[in-house]
Amino acid sequence: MEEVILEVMEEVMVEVMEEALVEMQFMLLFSRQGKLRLQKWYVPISDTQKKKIAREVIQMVLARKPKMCSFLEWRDLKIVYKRYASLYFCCAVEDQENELITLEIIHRYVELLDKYFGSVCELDIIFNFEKAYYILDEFILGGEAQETSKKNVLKAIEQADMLQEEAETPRSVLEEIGLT
Amino acid sequence: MAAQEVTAQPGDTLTTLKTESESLKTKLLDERAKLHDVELHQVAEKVEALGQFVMKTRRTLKGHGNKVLCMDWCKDKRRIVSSSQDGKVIVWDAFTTNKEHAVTMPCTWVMACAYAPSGCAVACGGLDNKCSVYPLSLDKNENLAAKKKSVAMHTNYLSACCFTNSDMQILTSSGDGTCALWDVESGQMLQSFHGHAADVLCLDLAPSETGNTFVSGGCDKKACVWDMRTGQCVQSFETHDSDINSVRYYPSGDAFASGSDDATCRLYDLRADREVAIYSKESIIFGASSVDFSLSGRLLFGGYNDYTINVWDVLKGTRVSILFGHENRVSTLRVSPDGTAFCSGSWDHTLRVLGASLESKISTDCNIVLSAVEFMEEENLMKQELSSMKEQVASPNTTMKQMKEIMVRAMYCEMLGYDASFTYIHAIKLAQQGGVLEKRVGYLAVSLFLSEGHELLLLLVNTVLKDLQSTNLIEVCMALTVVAQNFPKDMIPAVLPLVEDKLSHPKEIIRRKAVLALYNFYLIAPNQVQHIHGKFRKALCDKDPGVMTSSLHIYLQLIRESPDDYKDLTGSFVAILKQVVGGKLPIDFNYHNVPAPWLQIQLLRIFSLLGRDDQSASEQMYEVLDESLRRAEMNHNITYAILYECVKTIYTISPKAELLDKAVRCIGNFVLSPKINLKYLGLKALTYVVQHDTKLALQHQMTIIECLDHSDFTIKRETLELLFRITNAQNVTVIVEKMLDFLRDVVNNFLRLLAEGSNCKEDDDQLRLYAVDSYLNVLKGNCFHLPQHFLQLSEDQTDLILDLLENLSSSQNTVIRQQAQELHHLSQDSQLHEWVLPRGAPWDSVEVDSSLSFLDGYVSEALAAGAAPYKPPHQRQEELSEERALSLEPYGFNLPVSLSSCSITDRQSPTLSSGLSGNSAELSQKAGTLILEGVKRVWGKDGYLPQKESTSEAAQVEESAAALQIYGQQGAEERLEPPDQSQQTEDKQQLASSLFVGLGAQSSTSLLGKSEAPPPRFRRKPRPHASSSSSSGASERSSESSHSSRSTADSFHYGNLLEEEPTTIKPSSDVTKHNHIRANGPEQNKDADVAVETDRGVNTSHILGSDMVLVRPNTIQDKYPADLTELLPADLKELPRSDVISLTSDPSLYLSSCRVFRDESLLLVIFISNCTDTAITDVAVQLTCEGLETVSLRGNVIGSLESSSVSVCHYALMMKDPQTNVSFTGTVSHQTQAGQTNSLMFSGTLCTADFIRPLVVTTEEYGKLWLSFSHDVKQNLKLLTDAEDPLRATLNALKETLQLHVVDVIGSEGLVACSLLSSAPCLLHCRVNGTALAVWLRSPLPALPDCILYHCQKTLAEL
Repeated sequence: MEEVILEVMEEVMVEVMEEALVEMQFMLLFSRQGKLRLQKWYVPISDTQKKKIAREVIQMVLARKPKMCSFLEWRDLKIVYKRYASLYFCCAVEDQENELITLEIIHRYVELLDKYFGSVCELDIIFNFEKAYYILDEFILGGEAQETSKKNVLKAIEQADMLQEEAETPRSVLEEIGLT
Repeated sequence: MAAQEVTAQPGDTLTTLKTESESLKTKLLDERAKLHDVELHQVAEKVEALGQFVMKTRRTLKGHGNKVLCMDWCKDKRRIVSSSQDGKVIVWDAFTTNKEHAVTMPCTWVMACAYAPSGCAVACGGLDNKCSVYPLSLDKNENLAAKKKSVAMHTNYLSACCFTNSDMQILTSSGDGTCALWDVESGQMLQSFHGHAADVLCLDLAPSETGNTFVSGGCDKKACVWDMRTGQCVQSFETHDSDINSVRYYPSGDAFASGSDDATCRLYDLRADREVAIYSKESIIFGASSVDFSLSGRLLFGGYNDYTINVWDVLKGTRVSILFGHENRVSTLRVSPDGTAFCSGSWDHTLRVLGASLESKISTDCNIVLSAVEFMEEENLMKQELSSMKEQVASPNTTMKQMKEIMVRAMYCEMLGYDASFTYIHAIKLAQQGGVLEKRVGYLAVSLFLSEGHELLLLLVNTVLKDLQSTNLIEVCMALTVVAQNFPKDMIPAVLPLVEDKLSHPKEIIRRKAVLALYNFYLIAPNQVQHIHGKFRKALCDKDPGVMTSSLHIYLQLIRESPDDYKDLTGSFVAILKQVVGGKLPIDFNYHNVPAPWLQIQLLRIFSLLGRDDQSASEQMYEVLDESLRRAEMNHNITYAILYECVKTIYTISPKAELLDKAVRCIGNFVLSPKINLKYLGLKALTYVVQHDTKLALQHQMTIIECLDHSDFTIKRETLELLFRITNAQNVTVIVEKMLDFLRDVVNNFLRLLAEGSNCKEDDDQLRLYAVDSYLNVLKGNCFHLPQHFLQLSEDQTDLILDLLENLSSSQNTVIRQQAQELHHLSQDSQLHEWVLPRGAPWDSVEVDSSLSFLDGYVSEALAAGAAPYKPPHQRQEELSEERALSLEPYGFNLPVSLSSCSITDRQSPTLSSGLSGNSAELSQKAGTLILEGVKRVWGKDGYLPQKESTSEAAQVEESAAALQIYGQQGAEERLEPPDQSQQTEDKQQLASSLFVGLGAQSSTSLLGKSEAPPPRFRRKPRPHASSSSSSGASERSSESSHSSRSTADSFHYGNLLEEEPTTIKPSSDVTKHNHIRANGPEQNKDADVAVETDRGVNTSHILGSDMVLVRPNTIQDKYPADLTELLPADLKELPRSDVISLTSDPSLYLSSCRVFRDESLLLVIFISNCTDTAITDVAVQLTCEGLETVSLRGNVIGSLESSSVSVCHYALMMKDPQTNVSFTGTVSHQTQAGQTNSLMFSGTLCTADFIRPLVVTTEEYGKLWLSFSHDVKQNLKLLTDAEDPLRATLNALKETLQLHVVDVIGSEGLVACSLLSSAPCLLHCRVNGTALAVWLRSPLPALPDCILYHCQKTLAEL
């Protein structure tokens, strides 16, 4: 009977991605209350599926007790999660992936956020979530670690930010002139 | 008023005046009653009943350090002020649960607080007898305490306060029995209200704007309505039986409700001038601490001391709902000004904001939910936001800058799950037309919104092309970023040349992104990039490590597909890793002092692909792998990550013994790590390596066994995976059993899913159909496990049923036949069917009479017919365990599997060898060969233990010493384990032996040679050496005898020794050695096969033949093999009792005792065994114990005690004053044959637990008792959180050891009762409080709760 049921389960499973070649399938950030704070999908999935998966993963992770290990098997993927203060960082990787290194990816991302925002908190991510995305994109691209040097990632972000400021300052001056 | 018309006559005595006033009162009541023509609920009969009512906790406000005593809403419907016993007043934002202000009061017990109508100030007070007003300001840093204004001053505590309709006046009530109105500005008292005869506990202002009345309630059981202008009491009501804790005006102002300690709430109508309704229920026995009306007035919320909130239908007088959630008394409760929610504060230190959910269909006259907005839910807000966004994006006037902001908001909406697809096109537009910063947002939005294959992506191609050619680096970066994430497959050729060009861009960040873009292309369309493989090589050789790392992603993919094409690169990869490991990379790439770990891991993965089945490639890697292993020493996750990858690689490439060894040691570090993540990875690594070498699992047997029972699902699963890999013919049964255990949970979940379904109807049907089909297939084969649920499920597929029924009706199993019959009937009678198995109904709603009360009749009949009464599981367990204690089989095999061949040979291996040793050369040699021959046996019964010893033993010339060494080893281990753990350890050992049996068989020599050290788990234990073998052997024996006390000889010699110091070494001699052998021989070999039997026979006779035998074989144990308890009088045998423990002994007497738990007393039974050859006369036992009362005694004087016989004497003891532990002492005097009088002292301890008996009461009785007891103690206990139902598990654990009676379990609370020997009861009220169990004990005896608490703690600590 067990065999049959396992078979059934396989059938029912929603295929996340057949060519699961990418290191990371998706990354979710959510609060202790289960509110999604950031999501990044590295495999094409429909919106309804995304919602379903996010809900399922959040529920599962929130149900974990503090002393349990940071890894979870979910469908045919591994969920690697870690909690930082009120936020859960959660990655889905292939089953054969090295979970520890994924955990360190999460940690490095938190380090990056921390460095960028200056002791980051949940509110920073809520109010500047696009910044959090930029940092993530600079760190992980297409599901693979792109640049692991903290300095380089932040340099890239700062350059772009600088441009933003440069672009903003003259404009506001102009506006002021226009107004007066 | 009538009372005023009566003028007091001078001659009247006080009594006559009293009677007169009483009679006037009754008259008044009668007058009032005349006005009362009809009951409220009768009038309300026509009113439509309230529908389903669901309220959920929306916010939990945590922050108070002690009981929350009072709270109030701000008029803005958002802020809440609360006060607590910790002396803090906190202003909360209930939306965000943030604390906005906090004030520390000079006193604890801030019993009252209130929000000013303007929302600009809060008032509070308590035991300081004052009411203070704190103005709130927006400046968060400002010190509120500095602006404190003391307004009111009472002579006793402030019990309630409330602003009138302006910020300028405040109304207070106090424990001094008065209420008063104060001017906030000046602190002047404007009016005082005298009339209450005791403390005033509560007040409420009339709701109408002009209303000048307020109502108060107090300890005099009276509720008074006051006119604020005159200061006069205008109406008073006195129908409550106890203190009035709370009063609230009905929203119209014509009535008010009160909540009282008499467990009722009442409604008083001011126009009818009387009580019009009582809200109470039999089951509610605790006082109501707080009441409030819903906005419409239809609902009355009452917070009760039993931690619940009851919701009453005001008109019908019925309870609509009961809300749980708080973990202690609900002390305060207020409905928010807009009526959409209410907030309750509790002694559990929290406040909860509850809101009704949308699905509840309360009739429209209830405002409580009815606005479409769910309280504090963002849905409406989001919809508004989205529609305003829609407007804005459509407007031509929206600037790019505004658009950028809209896009950010749209991303947020999408993330929260709201559809913002109308902005997609604008995202592309933004990326196309915006300035750099708009572009950035635009690209980000595109990458978030549009996944690969979205048609809108095509519109992006031109933008990307343009940006790729831009001179602005940032723009190029952004374009490459989006290309590397999602790009339409068909358009790759268009951008490919441009991206290729970027590979030689001077900026490394561009090169890096270009490489990743190509990687993405390669993933989605490998053919398109085939021609540029040469460029990848260039990227690999890039001078920037980042670019090089990125290129490895591509290589990993390429090599995965065809490793042979890239063998030539092996050297380069090795060189790279060497440099990385050697620290040649810039320090920027260090991560926690480890150089570029991601790069290392990538390379290691490539190695494992390249080196697989390739000796020459592998050889190039050995050196650097060794280096990696060596370098990764630091204790940080990242080094473990690298180590793990190393180990995997080492085991994948063609093997090198030296490296394999190192890798195995590495795995050891993982598996033994206390960090759970590492443990998991260790298991995973083990799982991987056992595929190559199954015996590797042997080293970690114990860890694996532990992990198998781990509370973490993930760990458990991985362990099973590992077991699966090591399955062989011998252990398959055990492993499958374990897996089935595990699956049982999964199956239940699965069946649940089948029966209840998910959200999608279509999926469900498909799944069910499939399940039924599969199941039928299974049934065609062999069906003897048929879950009931399945039948329930299959009713959906009626046409299949008949088929199924046919199969089932012929089943052998009666249960299945019955179910089939039932189903058959059901399928024919559709109405019945609907009734029995409501379709689509959730399981929870199926009501089950779990007490099985309908069986009562049957049970009593059966009992009358002479059936044995039902014994609860714990009792059976006890009996079983007692039987087990008698078992002479030292390693009783518990597993439900038969390990046919191996178990027989395994069972006696070490014992046998010891039994044989030292007798004849021939025999000992045989013993030696027995050990060496079947290496299986080394992994058998106690296999994992003497792993090394068995080899060393083989090498030993002197067999007897070796044998003893084994014994010594074993003993040393057992001795170090606490006694109660030893059973557990034994179980684990058994499991280990059955799981790992046969693993070492194929290559035993190499295994034994390899395991240089014993499993590290045992390293801490002292390992006896050959030189000290004889002494350790002796000490071992002594310890062993304590475990099973099966040999009196041992007991005599070592019994006392043991109690004091297990490591004490008794000088040993050959003689004792043989004794020991003699004593153990028979039982060890009890069920051995015939060959061994004969061996033993020879052996025994040999020993007996020698004149070294010291102790008579006819020992007590031999003579009364069953149990000493057999000697108990018949009337005591049935009673529960403790194990027999040894008290003391001397050469002639051996004393042991046991406790028998009688309902009315504790029986201390003392067994006096004569162990001499001759009769002993005049035996007298004397027992003294302070603090205990001896009720009766029996058999304490024995005229003559025959040789080797046992006499029983028992004392019935009572405990009058509870004490945690009581010690008793006593002497036994006797005369030996020689006429000498000997006396023997003994002592022991008894604890309260021995005197506790279950107190069987019903919940109602419990409630009454509870209220009648005064001494209470509260404490948090450990909760067995690992169990499925922690509360029940904990209570049962307590019940098992402490003889408590679990009266009832309601939700997260449990009622437990016990009594101290049928005299003083003690009630325990347990409540799950997070991870702890809050226990509240009450008893008439002051010391009893403490004693019981102590034992509860002890019991739980030992679990």
